[in-house]
Amino acid sequence: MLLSELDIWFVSEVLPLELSLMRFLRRNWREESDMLDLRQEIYVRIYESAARAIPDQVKPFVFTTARNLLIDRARRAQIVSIETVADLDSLELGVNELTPERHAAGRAELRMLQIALEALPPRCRRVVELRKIEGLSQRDVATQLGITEDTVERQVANGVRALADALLSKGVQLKTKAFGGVLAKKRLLS
Amino acid sequence: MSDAEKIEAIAAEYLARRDNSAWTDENQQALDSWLAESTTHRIAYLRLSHVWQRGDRLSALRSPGPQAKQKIGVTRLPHFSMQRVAAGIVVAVVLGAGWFGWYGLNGDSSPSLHYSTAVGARESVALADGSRLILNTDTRLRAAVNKAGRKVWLEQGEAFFEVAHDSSRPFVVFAGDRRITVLGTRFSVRRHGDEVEVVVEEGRVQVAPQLAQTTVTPTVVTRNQKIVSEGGNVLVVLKPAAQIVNELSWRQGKLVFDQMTLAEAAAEFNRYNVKKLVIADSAVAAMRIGGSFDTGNVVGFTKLLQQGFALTVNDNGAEIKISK
Repeated sequence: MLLSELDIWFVSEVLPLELSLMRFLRRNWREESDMLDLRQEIYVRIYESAARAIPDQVKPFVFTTARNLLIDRARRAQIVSIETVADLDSLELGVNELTPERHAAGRAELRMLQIALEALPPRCRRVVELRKIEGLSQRDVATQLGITEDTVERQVANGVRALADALLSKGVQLKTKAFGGVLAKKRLLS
Repeated sequence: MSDAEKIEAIAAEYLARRDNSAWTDENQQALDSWLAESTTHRIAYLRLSHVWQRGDRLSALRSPGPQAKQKIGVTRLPHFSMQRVAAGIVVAVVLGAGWFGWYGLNGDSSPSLHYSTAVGARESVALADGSRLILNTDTRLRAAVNKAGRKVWLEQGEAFFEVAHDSSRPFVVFAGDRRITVLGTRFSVRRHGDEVEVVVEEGRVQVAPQLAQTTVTPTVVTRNQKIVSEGGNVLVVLKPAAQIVNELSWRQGKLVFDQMTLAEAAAEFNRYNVKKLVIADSAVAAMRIGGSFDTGNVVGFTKLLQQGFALTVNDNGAEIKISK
């Protein structure tokens, strides 16, 4: 897939905010089962609006979009009380939502990937390790583990979803000091 | 399952299939039309493929070679526990088989890794020997680091190399018809069709034609020197240190222009952006400008041209025309 300028913007500016966005949604919306659909709709609104003009300030834009969506949803849903809507209306974006955030660099990134990898189920983890650490092709992974290529493909599909959840939505906690410590603390606060 | 989850599952299937080398043109067409169906599809796919690509950095964890791997099994032997001994042997056997299978398939080299960046992107890559690469915009390269040697093929674009010192294994970069050999140093290589540029920030590198039978003596390029070669022609320029820093500022996502013509500056911006700058007038193209910009900030640059130089900027959506 050829990445457009918009795609690159989305991946490098919006996706790093996913952790804060999910926290914001959980704080302000009670239905846990709505979370993924909410995130999807917010991303669509952001992406389609940015297709017309890329906003200067990404973070306020993302959270304003999220807030407006929650207000829309609350108004449409009959069962939500007036108070909730009023609450959302007055919802202010906290300082945490306004500080810039980036993907971790260098060593911290490697540690985060490692921790996310260790959390995968054993077989899935083995497949991802051989594919990404050893650089084997899916076919060679299948040969080495004595499983079919279909199984490898299925494990890659499961693995990438679990990694995305760990790295983007849930956030990986780094236990190391120095850079990692600062990062982990920042994530706890935001 | 929610709607978003279903879409994510399909995106993951596409990504996993595409990750397999058996990916066909029909597969690509199917993916393209699925992506075009809805923004939700495109976003789900972008999100997963971004994470999957980030996983490439895990290659930095690769063990150096079969000997080191077998040690894992050996060191476990002194713990006199049957389970541990058994586990140790299994580890040694499994890894041994893996490595031999590998060597059987690829001769004496480990598989090469491919790295690439899109227009406007920049990526830092760690190689197994501790060397570090930064890929600039629109770049494609392949790296093979193993016991026999350290090799990188720059297929397109530009990369900066911070090579870990290892006198037993020279680090060789192949770019166009040039071969650049180093032991441990910091330098960048840019390929622009047949033209190859090497800028050395620290240490010495040797630049030679790739074909071994030529009798041309290799050129040695040292600190703060830049070499430009095209076909048989080689030009070495000694540059002030500050200028070398400017030329390598793309590593921080910056373009630094110092008395550069507008045509050159536009060409630099165009490397990083899909929407290209076009200078309509030769007098305008020859104007000299200076300044520092983010590689993606064409808008800021054109605003400055409008305000500072009273030039006309016309953005028709496909390209940005600059004229008097």
